[in-house]
Amino acid sequence: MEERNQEKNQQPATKIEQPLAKSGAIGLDIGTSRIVVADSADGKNARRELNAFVAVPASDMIENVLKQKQMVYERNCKQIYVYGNDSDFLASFMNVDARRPMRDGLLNPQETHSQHIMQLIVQRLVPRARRNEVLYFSVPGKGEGVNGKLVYHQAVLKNFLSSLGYNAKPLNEGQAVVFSELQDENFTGIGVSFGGGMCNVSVSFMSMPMITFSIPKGGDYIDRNVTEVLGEANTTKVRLEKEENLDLSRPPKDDLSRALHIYYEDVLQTLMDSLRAEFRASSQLPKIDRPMPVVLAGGTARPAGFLQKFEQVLVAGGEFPIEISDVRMAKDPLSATAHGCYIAAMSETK
Amino acid sequence: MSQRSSAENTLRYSKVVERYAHFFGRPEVRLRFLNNTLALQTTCAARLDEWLERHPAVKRSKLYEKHYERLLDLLLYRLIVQEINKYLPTSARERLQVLRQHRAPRIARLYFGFYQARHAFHAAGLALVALCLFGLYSAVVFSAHQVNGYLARRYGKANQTSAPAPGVVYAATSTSYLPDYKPEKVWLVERKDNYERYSNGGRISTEYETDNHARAYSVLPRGDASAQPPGELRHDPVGIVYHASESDLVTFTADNNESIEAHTRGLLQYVQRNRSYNYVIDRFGQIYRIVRDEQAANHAGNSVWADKQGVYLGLNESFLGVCFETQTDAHDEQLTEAQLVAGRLLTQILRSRYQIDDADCTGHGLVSVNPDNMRVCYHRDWARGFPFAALGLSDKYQVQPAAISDFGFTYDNEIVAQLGGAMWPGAEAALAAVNQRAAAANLRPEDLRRQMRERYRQQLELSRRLRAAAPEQRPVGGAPDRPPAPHA
Repeated sequence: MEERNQEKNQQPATKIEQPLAKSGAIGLDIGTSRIVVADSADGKNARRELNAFVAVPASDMIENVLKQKQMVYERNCKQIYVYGNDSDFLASFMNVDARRPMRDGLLNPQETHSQHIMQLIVQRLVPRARRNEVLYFSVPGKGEGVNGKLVYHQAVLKNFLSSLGYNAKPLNEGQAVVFSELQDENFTGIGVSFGGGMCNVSVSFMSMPMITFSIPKGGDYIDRNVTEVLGEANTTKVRLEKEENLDLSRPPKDDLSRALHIYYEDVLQTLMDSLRAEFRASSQLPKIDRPMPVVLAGGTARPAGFLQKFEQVLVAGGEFPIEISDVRMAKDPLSATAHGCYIAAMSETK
Repeated sequence: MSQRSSAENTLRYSKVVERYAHFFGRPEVRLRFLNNTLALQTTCAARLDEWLERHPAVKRSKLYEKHYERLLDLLLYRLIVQEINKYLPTSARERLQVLRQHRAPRIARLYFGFYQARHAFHAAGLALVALCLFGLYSAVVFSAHQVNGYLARRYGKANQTSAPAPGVVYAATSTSYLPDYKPEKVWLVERKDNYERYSNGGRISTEYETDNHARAYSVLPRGDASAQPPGELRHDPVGIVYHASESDLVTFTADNNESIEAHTRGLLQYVQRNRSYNYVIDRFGQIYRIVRDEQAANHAGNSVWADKQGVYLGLNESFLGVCFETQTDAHDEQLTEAQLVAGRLLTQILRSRYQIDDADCTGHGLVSVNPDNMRVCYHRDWARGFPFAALGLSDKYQVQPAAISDFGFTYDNEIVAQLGGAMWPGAEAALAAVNQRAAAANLRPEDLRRQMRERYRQQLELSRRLRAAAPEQRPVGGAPDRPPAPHA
């Protein structure tokens, strides 16, 4: 409480002069671990920032070091917050886990500064709007433990983005993947976004989402549990192993990779079970008379062999409620959601 | 019911829309096309359903079951083509390129091609419609000619204009006859104590029927009376003279019903007492017979008319008098609709019964003369404005009156002024013809007219003598000339 009272009177250490946006639509993927912006049709120029921060006690010495390193930070009278991509370096340097403004795909209620930090990160990526341009931002689908919080999450983000001058609209993450990757199929198929906080799924038919849901398991779930079962101090080692060396198509070679295999399979199995259950529960599905493709995206889907692992789990579960034509990985798994949001925004831009 | 569930409909629409989505290479345009088209189609379907809810009869019909889905498909195709047109490049070459590049189904390309050429189709359609209309018109005209020819062959007698008798000079303008009149087909259907009913719907009240002396007249030859002997004495009516009662009228409105009928009763009693007409038609179209047909009424004492058979003087004996309860100088209306209908029916009945020629149906003002000053139009009722056509008759205002052309009667400025500044065309033509004849005979018009007036007096005297000699004449009373206009 004391800390909160002090911070009410805080003055921003640096004032961000925001540039104005190029005239056009914007797609924004607000994920648990990354925030990605796409504002061009080819998706090559997507800009990313880690959705994380590290707080250190405020001192002139540290601030001078940060300035020398040209790191992005904000200072108040008590703390210095290093956020975005620089937070990863500082967290590794200090051997701590970076803090997350979001958790399980939604605003993190345990972080009092979550909204403020996220706004700072978004402002670094998204310039102010010129003429009320359309901006689609990704939101998770309904799922276990999400439903009530999703309304708040969505409203907070919409208000903030509207305050930047945009005509902000939410878009389901899985649907965004469909828009990004399934154009040739006329946006018919299953889009799955494996994020840090959760996995989002959308079954789309001709651009209309028929089934959308999420499961509260993602990259963070894997990192946290592997760290716990191996007795590591923080997730850094696990995360580095996962991102750099893990190959899910090969048998595990040590305890760490074995644990990662186990938890990856757990996430995929949970996802597949939920997908089957959703198909069974849905009464409004049209009779789809063709095989549907499945497209995978998101940071958690990046390890080598993920696609094969997914197919294994899919086949192992027996007959699927609908016929699957193929399973494919998004061209750029990290920016697919943002690119899908951009396409949705462009479709409403005259 | 053939109506499908919304999910099935969505699937069906989607399949159709999907075929056309291939036109668009850019994902955002394709997405926009899909979303807009499906959303618009859903709106259209909802509107159609709403309309059907308001018209349950349509919804219950077989037509609905049969064509509901087709109608929705048509709506969908319209939307698709509109949307495609909106998003494709504007230049024709680029569009063609898009159509070639993308894997759009052949039917989609064909449909789009039709849409592009829609103006040509519209023009061709209009031309076809015009051609059909012209063909239809030609067929109708041809059929009408055929029917007309058939009718002309069958009813040739009724349709032919009566040829003028030798010596009778008619006006240059020919009179026309209405071909639908078939007098021989009207007959008496029913006779009761106080009315008669006829096959054409005519109903004649006999409530005020009365007697007068029997008809007896001879037809005088036209030209020199001394050169040709008069015809034998005849008793059948040869024509009809239409009169106006010129009696007081009250405004023809529903709240005046009683007053109107009271006036009519007064008029009928007066006419019955004086044997003024053979028939009276009141303002409600009721026909009353007053003096029986075979008896003369006192409706046209000094009067002259001529037809192809000869000249008639004093038309009481030879013509039936039919009087309309009206005033000929009334400002707003002269005859009510009911009187027109009744007049036409009575004319048909009388012409049918006595084989009366159209040429012998005329107005009182056209036949009335004043022998004292040798002026025509002594009585002016129907000297203008009589609806001959409405009664199925030719326009007698075009016929030259025998009083002027045969017997030297004239008219003066006072008469012309009373008729509104001009005589009827036949009177003017007759006067001009007399003047021409005088010029041709190298005579002054006054001298020629003097000769013609002398002949009138001789004819009149001859006519009186013949009538006086008739053995069956049975005078019942009444004035020798028409009584003054009654004021009921």
